[in-house]
Amino acid sequence: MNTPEVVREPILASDTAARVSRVGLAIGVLGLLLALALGASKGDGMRHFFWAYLVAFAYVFTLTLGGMFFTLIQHATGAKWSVSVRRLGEFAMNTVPLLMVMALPFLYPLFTHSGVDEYGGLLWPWIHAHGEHAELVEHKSPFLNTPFFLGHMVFYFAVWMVISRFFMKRSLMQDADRDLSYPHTVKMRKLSAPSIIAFALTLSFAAFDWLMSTDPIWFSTIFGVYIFAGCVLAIHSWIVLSSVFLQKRGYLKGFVNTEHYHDLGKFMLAFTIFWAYIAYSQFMLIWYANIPEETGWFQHRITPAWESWSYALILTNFAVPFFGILSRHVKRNKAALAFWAAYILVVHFIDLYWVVMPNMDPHNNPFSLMDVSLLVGMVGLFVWAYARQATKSSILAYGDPKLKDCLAHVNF
Amino acid sequence: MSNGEIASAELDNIIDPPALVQGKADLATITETVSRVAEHKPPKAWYIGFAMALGVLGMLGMAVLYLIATGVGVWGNNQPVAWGWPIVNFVFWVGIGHAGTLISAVLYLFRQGWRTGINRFSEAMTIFAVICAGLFPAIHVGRIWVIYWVFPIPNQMAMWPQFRSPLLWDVFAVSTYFTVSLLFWYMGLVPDLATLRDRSKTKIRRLMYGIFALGWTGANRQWHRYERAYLLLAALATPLVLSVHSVVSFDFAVSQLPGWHTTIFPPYFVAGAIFSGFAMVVTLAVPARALFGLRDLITLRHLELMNKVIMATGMLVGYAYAMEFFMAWYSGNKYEGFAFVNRAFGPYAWAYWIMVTCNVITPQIYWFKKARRSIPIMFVVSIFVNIGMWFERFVITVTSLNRDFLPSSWNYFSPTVIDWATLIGSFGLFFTLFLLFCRFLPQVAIAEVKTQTPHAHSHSAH
Amino acid sequence: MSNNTKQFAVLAEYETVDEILSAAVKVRDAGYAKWDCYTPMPVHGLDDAMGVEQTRLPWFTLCAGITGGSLGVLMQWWMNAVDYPFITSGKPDWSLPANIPIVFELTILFSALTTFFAMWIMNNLPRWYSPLSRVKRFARATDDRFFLAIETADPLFDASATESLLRETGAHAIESVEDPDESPTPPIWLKHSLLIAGTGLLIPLMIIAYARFNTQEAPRVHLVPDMDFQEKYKAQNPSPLFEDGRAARAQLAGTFAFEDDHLILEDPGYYTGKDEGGDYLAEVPIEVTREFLERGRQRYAINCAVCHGYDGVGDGTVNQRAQSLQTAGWIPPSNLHQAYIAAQPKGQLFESITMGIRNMPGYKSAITTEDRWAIVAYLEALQGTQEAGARQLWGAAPSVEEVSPSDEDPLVAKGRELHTTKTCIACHSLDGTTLVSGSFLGLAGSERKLTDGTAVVADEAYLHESIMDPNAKIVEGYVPGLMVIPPISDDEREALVAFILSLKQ
Repeated sequence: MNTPEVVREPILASDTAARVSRVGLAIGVLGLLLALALGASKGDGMRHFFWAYLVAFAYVFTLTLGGMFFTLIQHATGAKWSVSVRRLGEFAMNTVPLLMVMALPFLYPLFTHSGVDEYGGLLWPWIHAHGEHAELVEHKSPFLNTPFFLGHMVFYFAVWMVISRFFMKRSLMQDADRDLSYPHTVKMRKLSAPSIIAFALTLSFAAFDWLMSTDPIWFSTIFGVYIFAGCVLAIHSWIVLSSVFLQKRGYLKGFVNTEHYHDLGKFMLAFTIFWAYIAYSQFMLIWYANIPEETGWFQHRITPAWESWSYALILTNFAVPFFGILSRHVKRNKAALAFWAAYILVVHFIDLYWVVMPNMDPHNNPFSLMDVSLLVGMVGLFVWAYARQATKSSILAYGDPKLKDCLAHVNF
Repeated sequence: MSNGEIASAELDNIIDPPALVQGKADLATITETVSRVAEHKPPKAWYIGFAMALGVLGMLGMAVLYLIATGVGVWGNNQPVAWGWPIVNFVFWVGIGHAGTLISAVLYLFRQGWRTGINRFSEAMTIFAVICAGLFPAIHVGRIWVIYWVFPIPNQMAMWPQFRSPLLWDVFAVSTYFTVSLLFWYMGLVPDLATLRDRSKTKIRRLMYGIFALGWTGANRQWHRYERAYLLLAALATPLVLSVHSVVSFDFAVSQLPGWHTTIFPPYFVAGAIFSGFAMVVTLAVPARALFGLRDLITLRHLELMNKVIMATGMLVGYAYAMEFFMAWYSGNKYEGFAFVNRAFGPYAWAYWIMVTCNVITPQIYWFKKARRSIPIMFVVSIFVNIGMWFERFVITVTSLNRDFLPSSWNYFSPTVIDWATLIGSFGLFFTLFLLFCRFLPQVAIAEVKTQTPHAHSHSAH
Repeated sequence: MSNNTKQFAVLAEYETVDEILSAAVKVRDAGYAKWDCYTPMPVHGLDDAMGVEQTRLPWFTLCAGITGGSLGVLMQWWMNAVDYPFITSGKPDWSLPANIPIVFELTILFSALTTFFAMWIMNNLPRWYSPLSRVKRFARATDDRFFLAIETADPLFDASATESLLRETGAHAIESVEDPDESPTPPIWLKHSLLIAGTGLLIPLMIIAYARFNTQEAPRVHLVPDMDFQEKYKAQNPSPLFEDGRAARAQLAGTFAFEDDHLILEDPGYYTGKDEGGDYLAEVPIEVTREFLERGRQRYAINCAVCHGYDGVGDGTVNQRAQSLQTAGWIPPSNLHQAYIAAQPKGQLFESITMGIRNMPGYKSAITTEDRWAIVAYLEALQGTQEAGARQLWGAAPSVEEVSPSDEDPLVAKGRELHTTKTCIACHSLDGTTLVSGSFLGLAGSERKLTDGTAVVADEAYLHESIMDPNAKIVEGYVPGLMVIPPISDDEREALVAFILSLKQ
């Protein structure tokens, strides 16, 4: 293994990054336009479009928040192994502004009255509560009402903005700063723990607001943890893919070595198991107690329209990746691990789609080209925002005092 | 990067933390420091402690005998609180039994070198705590002489256990956990027993340690398989440790009882178990390191790191309390809502607020580095956490049951003298075993601590 | 034991990790195969330096895990869904979500046990003795020194060449390890105690096997007084406390029985099925409406159908299971369409439901008075469905006379009537079918094989004896103690015997 000398110099991938971000932007715009056209032609007043938009939004949201958690936990634990890939996580975290812009279209279903008569609204059913559950929704209205909902949203974005800006800026400052007391690293370590608390609460409530409330009757205390598991799983896969791509283009050679892939692979495996653990806990407890207000959520997922999707989830999101990444050899093989990272990013979408869409219509699985083009479009925009940062900043946190240890570490 | 240039003390923890072995850290000194305890007469405090523990153990024996001879009516359990003291104590002890395997397995996977100073010790604690835990469901069944019915053994009634019951999952989870913890602990002990065998001066010691050391010589081909097996066991024990308290939480959460049935229970119980387990390790490590001269191996840094884990898991537990409360309202289920109002302001409000104070508020002091590194503060906080976590189980069990769906059967649960004697007695059992362990076995993993010293690493490139 | 020794290996001592690492590289490069390094702790890099190949241990773990998981699935499926199916918590017999935890635990348990034991076996441990332990300095291998030993069994071993190689590696000391011809073995007492302990472990298994397969009927030994023996008086227990020696107390003079908050005296027919004179009511004392019948159907389905069946032929699920298990002493529920039941006055049916009959318990506490009458009313409708061709649905019940041939000997005819009214018919059919006991058809004159091995012919004397003392002679295949002595006079017995004799074939 040839370990590169730790030279305190930035690693810039400006050209590649510029090209990738341009491609991302193009795909993003095209994907969204195609989806918009398909949505407008559906004749349901864009209802399906907004629900599918929520899924795609949630997908990008889990990547961004996953990046935030990744960054924060490395600082909080003083982890050494991850220094050479941490910048990739920081880039993902730092796409909060994009997420904010992406949230703007939600104003339409929140304020419009179109579709109320036919479907009870375009998106979150509590906006125009009706039908048999109106009384229950009325009970929840102090929490589920449009102004409060928007207030939450602004608050979450404010918190995430502060956290992501701070940790990004300090990390970049650490690169440039030659002060050997490493004041920025110290500062980040100090603030990482309180930031994790803010992260945990905002993530949980954002998951309640945006995803859980798509079925305003249903509730599950573990739901925030469930979404969190998806975030962490997605970001580790994303980092593997980014890093393999960069190395293929000749960057980060020697900085991200087999040992780092092995560690990232371990986390992919661990969080595949963790996701299954949380999903099983949520399902089994509700299945066992069989209380009407809870069990309906799963009832909607074993209708003829969704049943096969639900059973497939066990295989695609647990059994297959579990045996896929179990072996040490796979985790230490770049190509194999990249395959599984891509796989996990695909099935992560299956999971989110399954969480949201049966709430739109339990008896009809509307999966179509529009869902895919929305996802591709949103991820394209995410890639744009992600790669754009690399045109100016180093893709390696080269000023981190733990970089040397990071490169020397060996798995057992 | 040279250490001399580093100015900030804060940075120490990040780049060049204080060594895990303080004082004279050569291999022979480590061997001597740990082995000395097992080879010499213990300090007077050990005898006093052992005598007290034996006395309390005797009390446990009498309470259990009286219980078996008379029946479970001697306890305070009665409708509607049919699951009172024994299940509280069971969950309390199982929770404490989580730190050991967590430290040995999970921290091993995370390559946390500091685990080596405390893992032996906490694994032993785990095993003894699980023994104490196992006692309670066993005597709670009433007719303990037919306890074998819980195992899938062909019996004279041609009946099989009911595998859809979470109580049976408990049997499998706790017994698997005990077995695997024991294997893990013993496997770690073997090289150290070989050390004690090779140092022993008397024939009987040589024979006893020799038998249990299995003929270990430290051959590298053996170390190779040994290390691989250790890694595999760690990888197996990690999901196991999560599963055990999850299964314990299922005992409650599969029911339809407000206050019990909530989906966050499994991870919430696991976090609570780690929380209480680490607190117990601190409670035990603080006096033990002073008493047996292990300050150089169980350093302030070890204790500080454990305190950080305590703070983190304490906040996870706080998160779960908050989510439960929020969902109790959000669900719109008025029974669920009542159960939580009743918890905080009902007849057991005192227990609830003791729980919140001890588990959520007290550990906040660890935001201050000074508190994390202060022996008196950490000792007091760890005991607070132990008390708080006992009350958490009490609150979950008793407050949810004492006011059930039928107001006519509401009742206030009060423990009896036998309840108290069994709870206190279980500490006698725990400390008897623990003090015996301290006396005869290496309290610190000698070989593993050695790997954390510079002497274990090559200094020339290879 | 002989004192002859031969060389086993050459042992070299080193002081630091660096020394042993470089020595290992040299020995490896020299091509030795049977050699090893001995260190007080695992040393990173030594595997590479020695050229140790990755162990196959993880494969054992994986296989054991798969085995454990599959066994967990199979065990729970077979035990809970096949061998002893049992409905609980409204869950299916085979409910996978509830079986996951145990599958998981068994996976871990099998993997962990296998990993643990396979590791020791692959390491050739436990071993009682190693020749290296004869070298005094080797004791520091578990303390603070590093050793390297090359065995004489290695094909490349050459006393002087090997020793000089080790000298070149910078060993601090080199020593020859001698091995006696006869290696020390574990002391005999240790072997014996292991043998005894091993045998002792078999005892619980043997007890389990014994308990599983033994079929003795003696009551079990009660180490602790169980719920089987409760300190309380039951209805027929004697009590030394009272003068009359009975635990159950007679009602005081002037006691009036209550039912539904009413004195039974107010309307004895309604509450007991018998009027003041003690005669059964012929008809249901409530107006029978459609709703009332519907109520009766519903109550019947809830309370009666499990034994008597929805159609009343006595083949409910309880009976089916008892028959399939061949429960000894099981008295099947009556077929409610039998003529003698159809002929009973309504009050008598009501009384049977209220107080119970034979092994059927009374349902007084379970079904309200009105609902019991509703069941009686429904029963008539139910019986009507089976005999719609024989009589009008709402017509009078057929009397006993109608079904017996008219040109019969009066004694035989009386016996035929008694056979029904004294409820012999509940167990002994007239058409050759076996109910609880044998049919009377063709009984007289047949040869009966007894349990004591002898055989008798069922003549008149035999029939008399069997009615008066049912347990005197037990025919093979029948359970003693099941039949009660019928409360009949000698004349009635004569009639009954004559009737049975008339059924001779």
